[in-house]
Amino acid sequence: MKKLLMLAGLIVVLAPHSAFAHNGKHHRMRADEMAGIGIGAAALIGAAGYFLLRRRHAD
Amino acid sequence: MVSSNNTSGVSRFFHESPFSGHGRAPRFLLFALLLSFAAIAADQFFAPILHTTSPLWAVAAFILLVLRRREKLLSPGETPDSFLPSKGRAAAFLTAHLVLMITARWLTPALQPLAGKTTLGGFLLAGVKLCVLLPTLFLLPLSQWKKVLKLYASEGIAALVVLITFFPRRALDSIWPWYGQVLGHTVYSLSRLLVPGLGYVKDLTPTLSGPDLDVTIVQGCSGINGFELFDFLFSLVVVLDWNNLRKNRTLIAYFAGLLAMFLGNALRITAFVVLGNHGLAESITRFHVSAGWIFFSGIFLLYLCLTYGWILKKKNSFVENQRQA
Repeated sequence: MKKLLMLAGLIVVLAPHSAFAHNGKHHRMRADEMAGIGIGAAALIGAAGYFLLRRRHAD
Repeated sequence: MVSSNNTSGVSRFFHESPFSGHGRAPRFLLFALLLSFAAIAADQFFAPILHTTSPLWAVAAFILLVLRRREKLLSPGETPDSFLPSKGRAAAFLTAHLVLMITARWLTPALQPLAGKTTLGGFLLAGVKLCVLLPTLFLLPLSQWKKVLKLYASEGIAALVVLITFFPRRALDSIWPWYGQVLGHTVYSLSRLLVPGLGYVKDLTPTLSGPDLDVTIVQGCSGINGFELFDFLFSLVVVLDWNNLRKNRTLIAYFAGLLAMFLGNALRITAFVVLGNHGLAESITRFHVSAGWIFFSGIFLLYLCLTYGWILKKKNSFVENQRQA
């Protein structure tokens, strides 16, 4: 669970950085790609949090 | 006809679903729903003017929740002995879909200018697209549908909520001229407490003009992304905990959660305005999109922490259900 959270966090933090790092003549990430990564990572974080909460309630 | 008084093969009507653990879902209903899902997808594939994801989401939600339902709901005397509809009903179902598809293709040139528009015509077209659900009624006798809807009332209501609220981008677009101003004024009222000299430029996309950073609230900032994220995650909660939920409280929590996401969105933009005008303008400019997603996740989790215990049944039944699952 912690790994899942860390992975999601890394995706969120690094995705915009890579989009800006390749600015200029090189590939630039499109807005819909950014949004896709964003919603995916946010959903991962949300789902991971929910599973933790669910486990706590089951105990 | 699907209905029969033969009760000798009752057990064939219920099957152990691997998805539902000990649950038993009536095969005839699942078959009707799956057939409907496939036919709607085919309609939309062959007549793209009918394309809208709402009916597919709604049918999928109904299927998932029926599968999740643990109790055996139909008494033996009320079940048909075959999950297949009669030839007549199957023919009526297929004919209705065919007529719908051909009519939609024929009317496409006239309807195309209305598609996706936030005008009255666009809304009417969006409503007409839901007609793809109607042929499903042919698959079972009306009396059978009444029994199904009575027994699966909670699942039906959940599917209806999905049909209406997944995902209201067009509705939000249409109210943007009004909603954008409400959002802009809310953010302005909150931000000016912490940002002296903040200005408000009234426009279709209102701008908050600060000493270090101007923030323009475009339609993408409407909160629709948070709304969609909430829909996805709350659906996950509902599907996985369906047998442990108090259904009426869950319905209230869903709509209250949507409101919370909109309020959270206003707080998100307020935070950008405040932080951007207190030395973090560069960071806000670069990371406001991903920061927004983290914020939405946080709002959802906070909201779930506050409401999860309230929407669940009592602890004993919850643990019992968990064990059975």
